[in-house]
Amino acid sequence: MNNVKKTLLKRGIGYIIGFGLLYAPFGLLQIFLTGVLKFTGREDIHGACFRMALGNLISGKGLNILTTSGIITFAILIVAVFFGPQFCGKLCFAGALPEYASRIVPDKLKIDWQKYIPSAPVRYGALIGFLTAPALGISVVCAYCNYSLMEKIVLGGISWNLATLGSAAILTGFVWLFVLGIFTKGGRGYCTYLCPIGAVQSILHRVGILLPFTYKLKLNKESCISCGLCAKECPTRAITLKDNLLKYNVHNCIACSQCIGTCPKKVITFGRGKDSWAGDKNEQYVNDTEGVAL
Amino acid sequence: MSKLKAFVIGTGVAGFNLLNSAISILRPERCGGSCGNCNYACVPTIFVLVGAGGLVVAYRRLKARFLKRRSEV
Repeated sequence: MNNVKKTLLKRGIGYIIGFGLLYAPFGLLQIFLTGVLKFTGREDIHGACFRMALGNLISGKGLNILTTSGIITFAILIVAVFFGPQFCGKLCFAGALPEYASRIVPDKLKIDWQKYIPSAPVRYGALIGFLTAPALGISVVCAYCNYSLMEKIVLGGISWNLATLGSAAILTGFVWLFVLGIFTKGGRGYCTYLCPIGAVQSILHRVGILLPFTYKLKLNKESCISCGLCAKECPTRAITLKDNLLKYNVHNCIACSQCIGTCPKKVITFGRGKDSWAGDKNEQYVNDTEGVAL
Repeated sequence: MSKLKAFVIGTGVAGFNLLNSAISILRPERCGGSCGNCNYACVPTIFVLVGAGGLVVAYRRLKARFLKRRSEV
């Protein structure tokens, strides 16, 4: 088994654990929080809902940390400051599903949306709308939540009742799994364009990398053989190769470690210290003769 | 990408998200989108946006292919 497959397998195990921890019919984390630690909240994906916790905070009700959603949101955000968007890269099953599924679709059928539409303004714009809505007394439409849909599909599949999926759910599924999923390069279009929890983590990670004691992606330029494999394998296109320039966009990075596992020379690392790849003018020249055409 | 373009895109998406969220006034919390009381006001908007995006991409791809072929000739 080569490095790419090994890393995918290792990550896949993490996503399955994430599914067991957060989604009904398991929801083990929420069951632990409600049953053992006596927090209040639901024992399905809504018990980990980021919107509910942040909605309460923004609308002036305060962040009720003593709920399952409050504690999980708080934990995800704190981890993002110190270790990057680990939730997205290591546990998020809803993000991983289209990514893994996209690997069976030929590359020529996939669109690199970021060539046409920059992800950062869309992502942060969506986040601003998402955060402003509760402050204006408007509820964010839950019908477009891919986490909720993921759970509905699983529960509906178990009970053979998918009729509960309404038009909004079908539309969300279409965009999440197909348009921005398997037919997008990397398969993580929904994560890079629309996911609010990913956007908040990215902002916190961007701030976090300025601190010397936080973990960040590092590149050893001297040992890099410029093979371009990291760019080819990056599911969110955070590492791209354009005009013989290897670029790293920290705003798209989900700390999945696919690049670290894929790199044949192990020149990409994730560690502490002042130096970071993102702080290195976001780019690295690639050897013309050895670069991989993507 | 210019900062102005990024700002316009970001503001547009934020506005769209807000409008889309405002539709929730017409429908109950955690609506599955199946009752139709809101006349699915959001659905055509999103289909139009996704469709327009797809058309733009298709147009640019075809144009690039056409220009490449013409330059080869």
